[in-house]
Amino acid sequence: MKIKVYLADDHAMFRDGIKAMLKDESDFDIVGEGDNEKTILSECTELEPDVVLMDISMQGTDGIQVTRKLREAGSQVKILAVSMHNESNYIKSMLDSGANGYILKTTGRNEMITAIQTVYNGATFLSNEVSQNLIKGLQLQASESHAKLTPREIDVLKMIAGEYSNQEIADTLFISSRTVDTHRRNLLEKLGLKNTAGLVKFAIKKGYVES
Amino acid sequence: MQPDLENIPSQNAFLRDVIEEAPYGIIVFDANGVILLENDLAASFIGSNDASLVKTNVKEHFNVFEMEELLTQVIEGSRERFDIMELFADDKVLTVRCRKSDSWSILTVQDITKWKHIEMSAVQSIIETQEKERQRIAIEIHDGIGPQLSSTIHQLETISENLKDSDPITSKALESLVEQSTEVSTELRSISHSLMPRVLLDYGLTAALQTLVERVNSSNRCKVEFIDAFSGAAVDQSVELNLYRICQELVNNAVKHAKAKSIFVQLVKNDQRLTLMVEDDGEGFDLRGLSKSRGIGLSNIEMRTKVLGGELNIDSAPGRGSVVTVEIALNED
Repeated sequence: MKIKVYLADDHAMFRDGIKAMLKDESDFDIVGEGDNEKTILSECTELEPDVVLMDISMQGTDGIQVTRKLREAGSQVKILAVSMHNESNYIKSMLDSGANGYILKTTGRNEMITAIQTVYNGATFLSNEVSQNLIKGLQLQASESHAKLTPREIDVLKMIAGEYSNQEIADTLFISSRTVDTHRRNLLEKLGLKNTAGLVKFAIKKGYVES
Repeated sequence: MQPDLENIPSQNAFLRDVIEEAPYGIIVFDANGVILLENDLAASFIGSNDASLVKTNVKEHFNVFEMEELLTQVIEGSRERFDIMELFADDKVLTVRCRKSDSWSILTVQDITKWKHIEMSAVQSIIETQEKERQRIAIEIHDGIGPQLSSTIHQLETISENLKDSDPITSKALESLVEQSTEVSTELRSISHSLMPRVLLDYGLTAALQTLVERVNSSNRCKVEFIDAFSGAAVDQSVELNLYRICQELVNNAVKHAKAKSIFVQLVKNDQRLTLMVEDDGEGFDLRGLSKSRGIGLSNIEMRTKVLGGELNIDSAPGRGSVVTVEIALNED
């Protein structure tokens, strides 16, 4: 039995390329194509495709939103995102909305065929670059990087705890006292502290100074 | 020789009229900095409309560090003259010119606030036009040429696949064409991205900066870390775009010119202020002796900071890396 594929992409040339590519493959049958939300939503119900190749940035249509709407309407069709975007935000949004796979438009022919077959068989498919970027993005989110201090901030913190004045800190670190002040404010904000006493306590706790 | 206070020109009605009619502020002060004479315009510029400035010290009226320093040098005799094209005093922008003669010095002050406003709105519209154009080209590449090229590659691959058995030589040649075109496609994507990162428009500043940082890191030239203490407060898209451009330029400078090995980019929001700070451990530079290409980069940053109504602060010394801070006020929602 052939896999029924629907093409959701606003570029006729790109759709033609995919059609030409899949034409000679005996297991695929292109059942339809659409370039806007309304057509895609209705045809994905009427034509009962097995797999939709879904672009993200279409003229006036957002593939992420279309995917979500299909899922909200209870559609079980397998959705494979085929996009130019390789940033983790797009990948995450697409998967959150209910896509079964994500490949890039620059993906080669063989991988594209494998991707369609994989999602058709009920598994998830992410191409190499896509999964790498997704993981990098998730790691960044998980690292709680907002409280991280830079080496210079740690130097400033140590000197604040050592009761040096702004000017002394500035002279020692070869920065202006205005920058010292900015560092001080950023330290307070990032560490969620209210005043210099809090900074001193924090520095002692972290072992930056002798208590 | 001290001029005789009773005989100074202010007593002369004719000269008095001439000075009052001058289209700029005039202040004359003696060798000790004591004001001998001023016109109304000068008094209004420095916010003293009622009381006469005569007999007060000129330094009291300019509490801008740069200006105080220069006046001191003139009074002490180590400087004969100075010109300040743009002096930011309170809500005014002034052009100040000082010339020393035998026993007194003449300070002329011009209010260029209005011209400055016109200039800023011109700069702003240049930046906006440029960004619009970049965006148009980027979208054209990203959503137009890019997918078209991908499609061409896919078709080449199909033909190559079909000829595998009947004509292996042509098939091989096509395969190498596919490889070359894939490189072109990658290059195009990177051009489109630097022209206008779509992720900035779709997901905002934090996401765009993360992407920028990842891109630099993947080139393996240096390690960039992004510290996000911004918590995604709602900021105007044009503000985000300007901050992104500033950051792009600073990171680029640090990698290319300063040959930094480690860069920290941070975005910190406190109260109603947003601070963008870029620190690097590169070669550093002498702020006074900036090379021209470097200077243009910094003047772009300066211009964008001004458009944002923000403050730019650059700290650097040869061998000491650099710290650049851009601070802007966020509008209360």
